[in-house]
Amino acid sequence: MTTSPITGFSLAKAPLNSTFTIINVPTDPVVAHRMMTLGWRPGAQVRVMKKASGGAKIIDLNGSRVAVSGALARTLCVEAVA
Amino acid sequence: MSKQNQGAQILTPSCHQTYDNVVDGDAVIAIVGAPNVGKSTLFNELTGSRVTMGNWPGTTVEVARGLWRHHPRGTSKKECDQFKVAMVDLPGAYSLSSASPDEEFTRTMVVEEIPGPDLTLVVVDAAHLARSLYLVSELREESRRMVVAVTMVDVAERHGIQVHTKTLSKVLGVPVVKVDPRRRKGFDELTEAIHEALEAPMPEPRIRMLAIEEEEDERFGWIAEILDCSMTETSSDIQRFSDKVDRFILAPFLGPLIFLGVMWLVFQLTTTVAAPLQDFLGDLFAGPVSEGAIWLTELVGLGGTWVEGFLVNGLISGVGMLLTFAPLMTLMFILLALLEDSGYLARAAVLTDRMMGVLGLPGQAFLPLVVGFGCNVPAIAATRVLSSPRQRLLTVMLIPFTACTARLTVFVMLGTVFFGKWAGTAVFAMYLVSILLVVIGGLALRGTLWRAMASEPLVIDLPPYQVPTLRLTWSMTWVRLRGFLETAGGIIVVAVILVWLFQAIPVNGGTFGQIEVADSLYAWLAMGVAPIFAPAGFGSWETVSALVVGFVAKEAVISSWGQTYGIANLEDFTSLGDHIQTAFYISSGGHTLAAVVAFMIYFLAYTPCVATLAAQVREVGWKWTGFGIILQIGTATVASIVAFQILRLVL
Repeated sequence: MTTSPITGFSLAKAPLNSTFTIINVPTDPVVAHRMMTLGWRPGAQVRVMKKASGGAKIIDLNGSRVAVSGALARTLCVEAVA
Repeated sequence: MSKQNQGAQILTPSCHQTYDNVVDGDAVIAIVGAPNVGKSTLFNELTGSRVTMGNWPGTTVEVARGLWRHHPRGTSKKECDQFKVAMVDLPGAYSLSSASPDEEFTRTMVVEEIPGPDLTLVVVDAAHLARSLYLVSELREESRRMVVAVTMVDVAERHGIQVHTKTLSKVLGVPVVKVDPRRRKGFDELTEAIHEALEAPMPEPRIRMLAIEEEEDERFGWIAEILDCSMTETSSDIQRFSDKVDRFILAPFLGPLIFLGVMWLVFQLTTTVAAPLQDFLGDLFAGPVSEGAIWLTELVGLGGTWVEGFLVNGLISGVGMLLTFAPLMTLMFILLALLEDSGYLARAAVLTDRMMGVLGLPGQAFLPLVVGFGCNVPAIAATRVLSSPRQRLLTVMLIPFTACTARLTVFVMLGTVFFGKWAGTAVFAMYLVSILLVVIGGLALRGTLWRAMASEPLVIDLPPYQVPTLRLTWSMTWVRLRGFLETAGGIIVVAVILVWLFQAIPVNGGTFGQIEVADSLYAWLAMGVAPIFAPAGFGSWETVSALVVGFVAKEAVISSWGQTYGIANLEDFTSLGDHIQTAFYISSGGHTLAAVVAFMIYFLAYTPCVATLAAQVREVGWKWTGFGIILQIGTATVASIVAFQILRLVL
């Protein structure tokens, strides 16, 4: 299915309501730890539910809803599910 | 922690031994777990009323210690067969890192302290198992006796989450028990698991996968595997409903509108609804209670003496002031609990995150600042919604700059007296100054003291909406209210009594407690301090003594002016206004309006009131409260002098 040569893109650009595979973790270790506690880890799947007023992204991680600021979402990479 | 790891012999206490006089109990158990998992509820239910609360010796970390007495299965119900466990309720921690003093303390107590506790009881939240297990993964890396208690099972089930404790126990390698501390369910199983673990040989530590270099990655990997096999999750109706609601709550235009509506409601409730209750209690203490006390002192022949003054103007007035805050605080705490428990607060944080980000504060800080414009005291308490201690501290430092309604009454009075038809504009300008002070204060503190504080990007869990439970709301409210009354009570009552005392000590002759304010030590001190305010244009002792009264309670300033000038009728400002106008005219060398504006700015920015200080002591301790006082008085002094020196050129 994957015909595009570009595999990874930022979470901020991910279309709504599709599932993607997580590639990286935030560079800041404190933020990374918090994200990982909420279930964010490379290889796991994520779905962007909604863009909230104020720019934050509401994502679905293992069935839980997590809000991530727009700025942080731009640093997070995902790819199409293999 | 003295009696440690002595193996099985401590489990069969003989009736004749008396070492429970020497040590706290037959075993020592430390309770650990992430914040809000029901750790303290479990601790309280196990230990009952035998709890001591207080700072751990040599630290500022608050720790509850208690004795859990019970009869293990198979023993008689005789007093001497009772098994006594010294329980230590350690502060909430997600991990054993040194990120916060609380986590560091937990680390010291459980990992570094030798000998450590006989057993570590880890409390985990079934609804948020993933984030509860990190602590378990760290603790399992060394050999130690531990039992995992799973709470919030009912909440998890409502959200479609099933935790399989048997599997969890097998993969974790330690006993796992479901408990419901509120309903005292699962206590027998927990007791049994604890005794079995105490008697069993030390469990082997878990083997870390050395192939994964990063410790953290390895632990999260381990947790992910555990979750895979020990937990099943079905998309629940609650989650689907919640997603639907979020479509409106987080929508671009509607979301902020709903948010403003909620904030307006909180503000209205903490001002207009609480006000009549406050007035009622205030009148009750100023009227019947005081009259009763006067009648009593006359009955015993002490009428008109200092005893009467102490009782009425010191003790009753102080206790009355404390109690007038009780309905307001109760209301604030109920609203906080409702907002937190319903799930709305997390959404509000998402909506306001970008705006508050300017001050380096998360979206949650918006709520306490809004409440501050009603009253600073509940606003300080509302900073509890912030999870980071530093952000809480910064917010606590900024709240006193929000113009509360008690300050509003004084602004309205001064505005009417000095600005006539421009009174409204003058009052409005004070609100702008207030917002400006919050923003400048926030930026200044971030640029200096909190420079290291990185603005943390928003990452917040949005729990499904739920109808708040009465029980949880009330228990959260009661715990917080009791804490406020305990800490703030003493401070407020002592401060009011001190002001009375200073006003009772004569300096120009006369009898203690039976003099005019002008002849008291209080006036004498105000006169001594007054020249400091000369550069701001209001260096008269009458004005300065009003500021000191304002330190105790802002709304008392008008009546204090009345007292100073001997005016009984305060309903009409004309007579009092004439006196104040004269005082400002003289102290400012004719630049009356410039001095009044300077005074209003000073009045806005300086230390709010003793109740706010008491609330600050409760939240951030004496040291930071002291720093706040210096910050506020410093800001007030500089701002008022600058305002007067500039304005006197034009006004």
